[in-house]
Amino acid sequence: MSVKVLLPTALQRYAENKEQVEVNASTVGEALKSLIEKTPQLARHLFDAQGNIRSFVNVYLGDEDTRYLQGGATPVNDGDTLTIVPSIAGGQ
Amino acid sequence: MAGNLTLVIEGALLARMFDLCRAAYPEEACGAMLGRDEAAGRVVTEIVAMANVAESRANRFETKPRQMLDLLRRERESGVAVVGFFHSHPDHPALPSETDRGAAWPQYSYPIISVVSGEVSCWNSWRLRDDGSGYDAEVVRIVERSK
Repeated sequence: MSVKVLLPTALQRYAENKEQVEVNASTVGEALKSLIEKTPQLARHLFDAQGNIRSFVNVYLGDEDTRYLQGGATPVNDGDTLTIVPSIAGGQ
Repeated sequence: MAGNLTLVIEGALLARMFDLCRAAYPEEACGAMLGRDEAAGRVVTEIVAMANVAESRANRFETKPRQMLDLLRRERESGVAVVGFFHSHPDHPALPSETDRGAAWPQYSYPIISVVSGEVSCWNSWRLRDDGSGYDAEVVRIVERSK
């Protein structure tokens, strides 16, 4: 399935300044893996040392947060759009 | 993104940011800055208040991913970039904490506003280094009106 992955401006510089990357995948997990293969500099911003997606990274399939679907196992269809959404947090 | 670490912000926008931080006291306020990067620096053109949904809002802030998704969509549709996120430190210095450093993203500007006894005491703006090792302070230019 051909899937479009949208990147926030803050991460585009790690993807050759691309706003979106097209990947072939059948699940969200496969799409992210393919994204990293195409744009390896994104890896440390999206995944932790154990290869799990960082807690500060949200992946939306359309309007749905995939964390509340099937996570990396969430199926994707041809023409779907995934959006990488950084969590904004912090504090004293 | 601009290479220099200058943040340009209108006085009126700064005042709005301060108002939001005072209104949230004694909890942490948070919000987004929209704008653009130019050779002269990062120009802020709009302040967007965001809900703080952290469990412990006295010393933590966390935004709703859905609100960030909406901002990113607006960024793509309008061409006006999300350039950073501000938050307040109630009765605490305007310095980035380990918590701030661990959650920050490179490229964004992070103003931190210290609110002491309900009044703005001081503020600084920071940008996370690309390797995540620490922050660099931004030079702030307060202008009457940005172009």
